[in-house]
Amino acid sequence: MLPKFVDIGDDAKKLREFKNLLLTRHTCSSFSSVQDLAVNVGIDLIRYLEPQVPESDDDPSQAFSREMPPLLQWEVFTRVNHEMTAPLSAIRNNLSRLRRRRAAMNADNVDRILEDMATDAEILRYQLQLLEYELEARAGRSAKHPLKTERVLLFPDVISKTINELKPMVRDQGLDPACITYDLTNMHKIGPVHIDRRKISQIIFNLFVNAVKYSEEPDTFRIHIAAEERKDRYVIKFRDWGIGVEEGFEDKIFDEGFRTAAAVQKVSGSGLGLTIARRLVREHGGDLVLKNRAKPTEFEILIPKNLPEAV
Amino acid sequence: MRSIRILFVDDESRRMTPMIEELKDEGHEVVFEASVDRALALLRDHTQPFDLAVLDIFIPPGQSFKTVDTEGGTRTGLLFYDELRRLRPTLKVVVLTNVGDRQVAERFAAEDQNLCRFIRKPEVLPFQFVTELDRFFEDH
Repeated sequence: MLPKFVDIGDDAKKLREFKNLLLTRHTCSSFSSVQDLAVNVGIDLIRYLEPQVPESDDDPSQAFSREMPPLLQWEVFTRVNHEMTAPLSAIRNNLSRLRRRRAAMNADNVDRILEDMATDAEILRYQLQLLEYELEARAGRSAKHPLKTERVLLFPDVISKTINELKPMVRDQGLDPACITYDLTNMHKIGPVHIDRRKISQIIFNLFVNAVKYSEEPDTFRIHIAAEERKDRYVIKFRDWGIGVEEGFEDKIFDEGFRTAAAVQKVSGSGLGLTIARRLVREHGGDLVLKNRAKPTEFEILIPKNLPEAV
Repeated sequence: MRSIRILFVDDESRRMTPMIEELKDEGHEVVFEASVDRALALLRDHTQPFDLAVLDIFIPPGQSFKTVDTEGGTRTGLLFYDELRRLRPTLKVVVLTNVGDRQVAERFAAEDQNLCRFIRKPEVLPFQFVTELDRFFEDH
């Protein structure tokens, strides 16, 4: 919880510094609500009082604010805990129902339960990986680990595979999986690539979950994924037609634990997905960039071509 | 055991299906609401009789609590509970949540235990949840 009152004393120099910090980082037009402004000023206040928090994420090994203020750490931890406990509980509950009630269920019911369990198992696997990447980063270890690159086909081995495992999530939101489309012509032109499949799949998972969670109405739901090969890189273009990113938050959405007021109001989440996704692709020497804020929201995953296959 | 009419408030409809189906299999009627705004509208409508409410804590704050600090939605249910108590002072409430920190548990331990029970989701399977809910409803 953010502190309600903070006494930063009567040090005129510090007060001026803090005032300047606020003026440089916040303008009224950047925020959609007073609450939004208050939350972000509060975060800056905590960072000001604990100035060891790094601001830059240029260096992959420093990409996470390892010394995130404790008050924010607790909130993020609560959210991550929820993101993992929820699928685990759901798997146990479905298993219990199957064991006790299977004789009275029809085949469709059983199939639906099994599909739900498989989906939650996949979600749990990705959430555990997310936690693993987060803890590695906090321990400062991640950048020292070599990528486990392997030769894969982007569409069948990574993109389509990841999304197919999660389709029940789409139906759960009352959305139609047929509204997920691909530019297959260009996708299939791309030959085998060398990437860390586990990490790139995690990026697809994070973007896909966001696109589903932050969708608007079922009749406007759409996800389109395209890929192209450029001179020195592959580009995966991930577009969705959801609530989008508010103006002024194009960079902040990549901050650890940050969620816009619109996102908070819509659905629960850890606020780590984009931070970790960007970091994972930067470990490949690539990047994750927001190309368009809304209608569609478009992210580009940039993957260098020259990655060697790991021995 | 008589049938209970339950308002079930949780933003994760797919994951709550096992709990809801178990309640229905045991003869209870469940009105499920994923939005706190629509759930509060039902509670304000006194033509809607409910015997019991089941409530999650970590839910998107919706429009109802958009101007309040819900700590990223992790405390929405606390605010919802207060509003529910104002609207329906004698309604029995089961708080069913993954949020397990001491602050939240103590908050509900301090409530009148004839009217409020706190249950952590990972600690009950659907049939155990229904048994606990039946006992709670039959008590007093």
